[in-house]
Amino acid sequence: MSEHEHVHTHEHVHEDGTVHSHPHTHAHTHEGDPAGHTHEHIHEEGAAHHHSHDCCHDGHTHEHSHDEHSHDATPREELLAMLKYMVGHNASHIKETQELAEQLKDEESAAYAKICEATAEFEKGNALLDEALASLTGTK
Amino acid sequence: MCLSTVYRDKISPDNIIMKNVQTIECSGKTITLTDLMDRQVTLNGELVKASLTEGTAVVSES
Repeated sequence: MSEHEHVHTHEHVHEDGTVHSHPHTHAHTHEGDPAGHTHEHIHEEGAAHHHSHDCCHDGHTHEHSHDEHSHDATPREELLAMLKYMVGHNASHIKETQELAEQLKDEESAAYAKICEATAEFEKGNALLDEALASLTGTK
Repeated sequence: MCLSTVYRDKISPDNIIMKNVQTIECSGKTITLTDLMDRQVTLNGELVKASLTEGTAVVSES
């Protein structure tokens, strides 16, 4: 019996025809018949499931039949990714708002002042989000 | 650019294929959606509409 694990990407076809692809790690044993075996594998996101498959390890092709599985990252990972995205995304919107203000700069109008004020508030809010992200990720 | 929600056939909560989509790649009839977590969904069909201000896209499957 040999035991090994490997990381690779393969596709999963769902009943509705949707195809997913993601990398994951297999840890499995072979018991005499390399063409057919059952194993458990753990996805990067931490979700584990059992399935049976036929495989050809030389060409490394897999046919999978899943009883259950989840491709979801943990809620915490999703939250951190979204927060990180929002901070960066807001920064680009702040830049756009500043550029709008620039167009009104010569007028020195009330609108210009308001946009500048709004931009400053936007920056403050985004800085708070960035601080929240830093505290959640332990970088601050 | 904002993240988008991709729907099948029409914009309806029941028709959501993927949320927080960061890229939509079309190659022939193959559409590959990738979300913020780099998860991918591939389907056969056509991109019907993408509203970049509303953050929505609609695909029809063949």
